Amino acid sequence: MKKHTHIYWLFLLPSLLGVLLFYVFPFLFSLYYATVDNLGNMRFVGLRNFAATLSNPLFQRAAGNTLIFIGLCVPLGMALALFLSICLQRMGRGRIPATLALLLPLVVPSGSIVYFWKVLFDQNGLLRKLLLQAGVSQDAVFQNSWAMGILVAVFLWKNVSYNIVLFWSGLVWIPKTYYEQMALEGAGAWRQFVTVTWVYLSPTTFVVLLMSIVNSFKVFKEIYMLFGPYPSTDIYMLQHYMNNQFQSLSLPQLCSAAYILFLVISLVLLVIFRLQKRVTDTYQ
Amino acid sequence: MKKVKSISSLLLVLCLVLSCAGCQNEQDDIYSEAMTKSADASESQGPFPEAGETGERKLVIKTPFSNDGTGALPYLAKEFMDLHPGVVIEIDSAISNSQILSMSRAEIQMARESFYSRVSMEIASGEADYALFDVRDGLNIPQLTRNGFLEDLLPLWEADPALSSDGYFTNVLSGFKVDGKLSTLPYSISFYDLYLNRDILERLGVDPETIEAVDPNRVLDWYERGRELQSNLNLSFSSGGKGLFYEYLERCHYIDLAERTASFDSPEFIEFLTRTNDVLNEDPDLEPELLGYGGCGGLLDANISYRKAGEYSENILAWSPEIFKTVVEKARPGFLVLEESFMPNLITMQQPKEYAAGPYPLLTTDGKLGVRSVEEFSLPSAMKDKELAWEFIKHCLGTRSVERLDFLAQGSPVKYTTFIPVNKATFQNMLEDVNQHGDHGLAMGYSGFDTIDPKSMTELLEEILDREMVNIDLYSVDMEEFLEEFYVSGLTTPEVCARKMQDRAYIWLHEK
Repeated sequence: MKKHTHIYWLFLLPSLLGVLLFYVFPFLFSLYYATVDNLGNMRFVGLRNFAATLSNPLFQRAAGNTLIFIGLCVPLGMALALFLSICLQRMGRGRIPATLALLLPLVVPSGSIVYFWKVLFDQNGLLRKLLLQAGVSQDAVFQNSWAMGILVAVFLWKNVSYNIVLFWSGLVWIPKTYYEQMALEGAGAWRQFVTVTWVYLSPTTFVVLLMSIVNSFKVFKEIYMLFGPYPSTDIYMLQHYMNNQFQSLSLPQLCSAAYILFLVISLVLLVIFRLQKRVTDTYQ
Repeated sequence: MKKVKSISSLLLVLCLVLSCAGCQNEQDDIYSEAMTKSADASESQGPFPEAGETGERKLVIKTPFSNDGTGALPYLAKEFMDLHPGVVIEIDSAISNSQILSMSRAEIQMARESFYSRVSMEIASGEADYALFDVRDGLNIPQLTRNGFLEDLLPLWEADPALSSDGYFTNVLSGFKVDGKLSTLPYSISFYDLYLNRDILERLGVDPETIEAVDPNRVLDWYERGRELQSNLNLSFSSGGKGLFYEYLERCHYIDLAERTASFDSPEFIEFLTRTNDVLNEDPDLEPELLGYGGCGGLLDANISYRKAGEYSENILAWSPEIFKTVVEKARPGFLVLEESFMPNLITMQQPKEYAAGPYPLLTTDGKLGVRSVEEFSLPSAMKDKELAWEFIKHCLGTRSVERLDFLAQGSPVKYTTFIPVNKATFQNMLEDVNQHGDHGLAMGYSGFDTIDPKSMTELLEEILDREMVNIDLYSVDMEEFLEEFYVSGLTTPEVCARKMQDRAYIWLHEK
């Protein structure tokens, strides 16, 4: 085994070099950018850019919106995916077409479907026209607070199928005999879910939680295509902030924001991993 | 089996290597090409070569459009090269005039975007070894200045003994400063002005000769009263659009760049939206493509004349007989025409007009004159031979005699500029040129000109430009969709529109 180690490293080398060159090195280099005043003077200013970013009301707003978005999308997406995967598992006839229909968003490029969303949710879109025709006032229809709901819908459409696949793979590993035993002892569906499904799905649930958080940051493409680089402040996310800073070449501000985000995500992931370990240990 | 595994592994490695190589897309190729070009460019920093001296120094000027045949830049460059045989000036443009004729609007837009993204990349990577000309529409000049990517030209201006402050409209230059830095130096500028309907003003008891400048609220007051006298009176002659005041100037009044605040949600702005939405803006007898066509004082004058006396000066039809005739005879009466202050309408400022009045400088509600640079230079900080670039900029800013105001192009002569030169003596010579050559064709159909007094006209312009001013280009937050939703589609109320605009301004201000 040991004599082959150098061969493994040899095969890993191109990939590692790529990661080092295109991810690790730029990431470390961007710390330098985050600590200079601007790219013309390149004067070291310590943590001034971080302080300015943290005190920028727009950054705070974007962070708040991102938090609300994650807070809404992740639990909703997980609950919906779990519910649908259990339904699919218990479904008799029609399971295959239902599965195909639910997995469709995974294979359809979201870019091609955004036009549909646009027709539906645009300023002059179908939904708003219907609401206006239904007698809802212009002020109510055109208020920005609707936009967050649209984003949550887009996220769920795009990511629920992925979570269904993960939950499904977790569900099929739970032995059926456990349920049969519980049923014999008179336990109802809810009791079975709480004491068997939920317990045995906990490792999968952590994976789904992790992936949902990661995916909630990856829905930016669709938001951008729907609302452009300057949406209303109600749905202005951290990605908008950073994307626009990049467009205007404000690299010190961009890098400091990216590092703040990196630290926060790292902390969240650390907590999740610790939690997962504790829960897994408890059940074992 | 072992063999298959080895071959598969090798294929995997190959795929990885190839996919890394495949990451380089077309944009990267263009960028690499540009980088190679920059690296090859001359880096000579020796003494400035004068006539007869040898040793080549090269200045590259990047601009989105080539201006050959229409703008003076290529001719100014040639003139400079003739004066300094050791200098080569290369104008690198994204689109040449000849190309433009065969390109669709989408292709022009794509070429333009490609140009600006390439220039942005080169500026950010410190590889922009060239001067920039006329790039304000595609580059965020204030942001680039704040980020230190553009050279502050103020110290160069102040330290140069050849540039005396008295010889230039220096107050205007102060308007182009961003955080105290002058990163854009124009050799010509403009502001906006209004021609008003003299007939309506007089019927309202307003003496047109006593008006020095106008602001949107004052004009709207007159218009609303004027409409009581003439119910089919459009605000803007030939229906220039309801949002014209906002679009051209008034937005500056509601944005405070220093404090990073906006007041679009104020009752004052909501009232402004309401009033501008209530104006009449219809011309049912004009073809849609002719709407907004009558944006010149001469046409307004002819229209009022036609309506009052049944005739008008045929001079107005010299440029485009069919179209202008239709506009003059079929357009509804209008109260105003908004124009950019280029030489032809400046000339009319002191000329007697029978039916139209003005042009009057348009000010913001709080009395500021909005200026914009027209033909201007910027120098990226990474540029190596700034001394050469500065010498060329100085050449462009220098005084031009009457004989040197026109360049001989292939077709008709090309003017040094048709806007306001920042050099006072050049401005006076341009007026002298009009007196000498009777270039009244420029003056949009006005005929029977009195001789212009260059001195008094320059004094008048100095008076206008000595006002407190704002650089319109610094307030380029995009509100078009909200205004269209409000003015054109009628989908929102003034309150909702104002709220959305405030929201957008908030983001725009805090991303800076």
